[in-house]
Amino acid sequence: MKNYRPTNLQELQRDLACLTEKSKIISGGTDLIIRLNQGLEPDALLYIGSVEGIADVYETEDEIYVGAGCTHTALEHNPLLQKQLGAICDAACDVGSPQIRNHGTIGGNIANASPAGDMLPVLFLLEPQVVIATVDGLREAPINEVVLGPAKTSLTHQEAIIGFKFKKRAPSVKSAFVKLGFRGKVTISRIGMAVEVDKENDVVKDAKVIAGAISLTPRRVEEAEKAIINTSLDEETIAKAGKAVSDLIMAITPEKFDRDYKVYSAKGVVEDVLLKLK
Amino acid sequence: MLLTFKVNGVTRSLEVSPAKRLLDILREDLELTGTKEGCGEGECGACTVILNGEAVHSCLCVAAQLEGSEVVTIEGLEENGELSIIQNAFYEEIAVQCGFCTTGMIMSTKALLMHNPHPTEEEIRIALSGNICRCSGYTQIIRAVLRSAKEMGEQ
Repeated sequence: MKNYRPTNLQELQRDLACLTEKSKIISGGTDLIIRLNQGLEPDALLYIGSVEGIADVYETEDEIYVGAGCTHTALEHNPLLQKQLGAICDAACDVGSPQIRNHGTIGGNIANASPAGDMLPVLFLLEPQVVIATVDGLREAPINEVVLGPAKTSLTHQEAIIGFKFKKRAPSVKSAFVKLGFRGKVTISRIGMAVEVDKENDVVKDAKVIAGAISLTPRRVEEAEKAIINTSLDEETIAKAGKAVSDLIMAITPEKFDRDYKVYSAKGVVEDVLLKLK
Repeated sequence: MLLTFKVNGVTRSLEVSPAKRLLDILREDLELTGTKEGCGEGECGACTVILNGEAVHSCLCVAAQLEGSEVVTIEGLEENGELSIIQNAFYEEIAVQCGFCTTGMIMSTKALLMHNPHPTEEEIRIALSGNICRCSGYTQIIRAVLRSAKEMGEQ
């Protein structure tokens, strides 16, 4: 098995050119290594974690850049993200266990494209441009054009995600994420709700609501958005938004994927996430 | 590939497959069998070691990721041939029953106390949430961590 460990972008591009369809790019490896241990035999491993700047987080005049190699632990504790893109920190702090959060990365979570990946609904909410290294240079694509379905992305075998560019938010904009699992900690999402609101004097002027783990890719819930716009997130509004998510789950989630449980519990998850934004 | 990294403060160089797990490198190549394999898929925490200052699953790290890194295992905790404060606290509080999860519990405790020397009980529960014990019921383990923090503070 060949081994590549590029330390900068030029080396990354050079090494990407050597990869075949049987090669794997590894970051934290918390999903890939299980498959390696079960018998998956790539012809090469390219470790992306040594590339200079791969775990950087910084702001420019109108953007926030998050390197693909940021671990969930680093995301959770980043003050810039806490202030601007709170849903990322909410999701990062509850992924897997401390050991997984210390090693698993945001780039790996997206490239792996698990339907239960907690970062997926959050990134569908916050709509970053994904920065992708290719053999010829860098390209950018919106998140929904990168993640296409379970374990399916539009990346070729010679492309690697190196970071995410988020538009900066106005101070009136807040986002949050809440997930529901079968137990309190170390659990896989059955529902992940990611919500962003723009408030003026306690009244929601604009809202975006994304539900994860209820279908193959995250789904926007426009009925829930309509329910909360022009309200101050009172009890009745929260119930209406919860019902909108329940109705969507009833309509699109296959019964065998815990549909009935999700229909019932969605109301509580929506309440939890909206109360964070109240 | 030739892998050069530090284990318990000692530089090690060895020829391994890039896909060989840190757990297997420790147990098979370096004969450090204190680190245990439980589930092999990052659920149980028995194989926890400290990599570059953070608790990680050694079953979910491979050689390709390890060049130049620093690893601490349970064998690295002893101080001059004596049990470290954390190991002794687990012993004194009877936080060990079958013992299989213990090295992972202790490494997660070590990582916690490196970052947060005075954790609350809630912080301890979160720090150990990735370590599963089938026999002890956790109460004694939490007590052992609290005792470790107290004794390290007194030192």
